[in-house]
Amino acid sequence: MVVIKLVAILAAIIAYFGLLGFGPWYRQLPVQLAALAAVVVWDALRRSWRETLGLLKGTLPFIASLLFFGVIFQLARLQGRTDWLHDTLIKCVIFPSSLVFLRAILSYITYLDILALPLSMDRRFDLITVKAAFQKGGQALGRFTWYLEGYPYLAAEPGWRGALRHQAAKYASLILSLYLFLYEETEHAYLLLQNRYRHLQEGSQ
Amino acid sequence: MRNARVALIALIAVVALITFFVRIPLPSRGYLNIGDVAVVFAGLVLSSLVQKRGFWWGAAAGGLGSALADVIGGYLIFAPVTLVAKGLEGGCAALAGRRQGLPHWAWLVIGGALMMAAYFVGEWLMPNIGLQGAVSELVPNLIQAASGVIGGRLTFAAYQRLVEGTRA
Repeated sequence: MVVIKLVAILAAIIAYFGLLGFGPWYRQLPVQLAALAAVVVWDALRRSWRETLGLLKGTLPFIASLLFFGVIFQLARLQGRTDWLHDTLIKCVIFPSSLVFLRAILSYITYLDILALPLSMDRRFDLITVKAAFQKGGQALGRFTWYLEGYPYLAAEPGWRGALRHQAAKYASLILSLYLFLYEETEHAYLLLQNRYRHLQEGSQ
Repeated sequence: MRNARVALIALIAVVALITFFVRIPLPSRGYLNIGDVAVVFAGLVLSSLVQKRGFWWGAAAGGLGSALADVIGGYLIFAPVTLVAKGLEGGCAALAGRRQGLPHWAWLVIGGALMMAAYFVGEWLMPNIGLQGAVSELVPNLIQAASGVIGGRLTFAAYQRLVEGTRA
């Protein structure tokens, strides 16, 4: 049953990207907008409007950069193309749409589904800890970024060299702190799972 | 910190999240990111934790993490190419971690070059991109590969000083 559920989810993802991502509906802006509206409502009903709108808000910097480069490419007529702006608008819709769609559909995969998979216990532990690591990491990333922005040692210095140094140090610190945090979290999750599994085995004997 | 399996899972998540975090769109529908720094860092960290088959550990962290970021971010079509390209980069970084001096840097550069080559071939064969798109991405990929080598190496040096108490 679990395998059927996962295959159905995978098929839905392939169908979604096959039709909207690179398929026949890719260039149809009204269809893309309708798909975005549908997945936003779906995700909001599944979680809350606050969470869904929060996710959409998080995509705004990327959408802004998409628009910025789209306009530049259009003005420069890069590669001789004149459809950069149209292509950019499609991307601006499909990016949040696919993000919300994936979050909504992947939320149907539960820890119980992973446990019921026909895999060895070690592989199931791996999958559970990967899922946990992603959840923890996603939540921690914003906090770490905010903290690093205000960290005096990493304060921006004047001039382009100072700005570059600031950015490099910030991202290196972000990678390092995220890894150290996730290592601890993953190790903790692993130990917890192993102890519970051992306890259940002892209890059933 | 000696559990390589735990480190691998943590690094897959780090690579995916960092790749997803900062992105600049490119003409061919791809994007520029700082994920390469995380890929090289992951390869170097894993090489210090495993004794054998370091290449595959680094390839798993770099390839799976980056491909996952493509899937999550709506760039599903790039995921297979990314899996190979970033896998090669992470694997070579792991091989570099077992070496010192010139061979160390040579493997890091080879990893970056293989990543660029894999993207070039993959994008050339892709529908709607072709040779024109693949060529236009050579320079951004070169910038990404170079920033990956330098940034990844510097981040690993900080990691060594912080965690292992050694100077890189």
